[in-house]
Amino acid sequence: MSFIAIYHIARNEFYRVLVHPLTMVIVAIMLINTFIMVNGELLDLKTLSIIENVDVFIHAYYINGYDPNFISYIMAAFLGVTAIAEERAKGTLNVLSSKPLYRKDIILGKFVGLSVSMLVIVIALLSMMTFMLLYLYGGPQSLTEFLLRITAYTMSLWLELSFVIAFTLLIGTVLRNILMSMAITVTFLSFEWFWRNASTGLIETFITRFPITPRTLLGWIINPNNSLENLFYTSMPFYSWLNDAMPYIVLSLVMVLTMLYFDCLAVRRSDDL
Amino acid sequence: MGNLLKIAKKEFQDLLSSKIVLIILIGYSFVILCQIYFIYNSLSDGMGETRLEYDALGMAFANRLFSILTDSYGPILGIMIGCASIASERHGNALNTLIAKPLYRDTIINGKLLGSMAFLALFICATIIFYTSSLLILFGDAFAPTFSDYLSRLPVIFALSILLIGIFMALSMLLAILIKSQAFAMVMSTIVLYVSINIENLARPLSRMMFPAQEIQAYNLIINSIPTGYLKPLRDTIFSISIDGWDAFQLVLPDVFKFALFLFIACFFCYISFLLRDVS
Repeated sequence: MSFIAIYHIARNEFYRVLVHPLTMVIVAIMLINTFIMVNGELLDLKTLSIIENVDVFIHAYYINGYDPNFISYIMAAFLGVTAIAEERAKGTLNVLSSKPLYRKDIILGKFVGLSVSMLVIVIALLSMMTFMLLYLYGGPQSLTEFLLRITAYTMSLWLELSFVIAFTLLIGTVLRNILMSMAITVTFLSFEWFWRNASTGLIETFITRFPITPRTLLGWIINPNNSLENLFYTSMPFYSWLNDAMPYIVLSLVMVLTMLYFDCLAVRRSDDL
Repeated sequence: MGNLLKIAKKEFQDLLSSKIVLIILIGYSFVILCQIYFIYNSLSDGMGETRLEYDALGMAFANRLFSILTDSYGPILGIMIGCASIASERHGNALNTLIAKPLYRDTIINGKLLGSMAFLALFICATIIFYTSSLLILFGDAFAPTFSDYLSRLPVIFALSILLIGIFMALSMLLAILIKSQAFAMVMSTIVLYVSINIENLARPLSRMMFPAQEIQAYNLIINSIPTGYLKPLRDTIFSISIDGWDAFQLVLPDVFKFALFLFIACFFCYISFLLRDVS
């Protein structure tokens, strides 16, 4: 393994994401979305301040958590699936494979680049919301609590997106046809975000017992006790949350590493590289 | 007319054998099975009528069928059909061959739209038959007294479903024509669906923010201007047990025309973009 090679591929991938039209579309949608939510819906949150131990400023991220999560999920899935598949379709993967590189360096470089760029995008999306909330509410009750919890949320979201990237990289590597890869990714995405509501009783029980999909794992990290109190409720001490969420954080890391192992395996066995 | 039907037939056959559509159909079948399992569970524990939300069982089953076909499950299928319809030909360069034939371009796009709509109609009919027969097999005795209520709602469900899914299918075809990268077109279509669903959530804060004095009117205006949001208030009319099926159909007929107008606009843009854009 060559770290220099991984770094160069990762940097290249990072710039590809930054100038990708999808990045601009996503940021524009989130800018409009957050502006409307903060100025309209979240005004109701002011009434919540009368409830003991709820910091409205932090709780707003919970109320508006669905959209940044969903939109960054779509983006991670798309970028993950096209990272190898698009290069294969354009023929540029042949150029890359003719260089003195290990195959696993290519996949690891792409994963690192995509993962870091998603972290940057998540930080940008959440910062955008923080600035709007600062304008509206003036600031959190406790700066330390806020920084701890929002950093934990950002890292959890990043972990989820890294899992999505590693999984979709696998789909893009194994399948030759980019459209087929995309169709499988959209079907998976539909299950995660739309169709699981329809599966009441059947796979919900399975998912609750075995949290193995990215979104379910994120749900368990944020709300490890499946109770009314979670990461965004200041009534639950931060270290108590961290203690409860740790098994799910470790499980997420294991899932990401397992997926990466399969990615490396798939790219090594791929005969068109 | 002959060429139009030939292209429509080819499109229909292509969609039937498309692997992309097959993948989404497998996923969709799983959703239908999950719904049937949910109904089975709900009725087994004696809480069926409470959990299924409606007093009459036939109406509750019809409502579930409507959910299966419209609540974002159907639109996803529409997106896949629309993308597969344009992408498969672009990918295999078959579109170039088709355009080089002595055919008007509008014949090609009309044929594609016709073939895709026929496939959609077949899919909805198959879903209705599969769902209904499963319910009859599992709950025949309980279902029989209200079966006529259920049957009377099927034409409305069919009409609204095909129009809603057709809108998203035409939109994804439009994006597949406009955007060169077909994978990007597919993800953009998914984002369009997300935006459409999200507008329902944003309608209240937006109307509160922009028009605080006329919040309710502004909210209704926003909701009525998007297909997915417009559908929800119709449920109470369609599945009301106080009116029969024909009356329900007559009551929602103006809304059916409105949906048809949405579909017409989406198809029109699709048509114009195919005629004007270099799609080879």
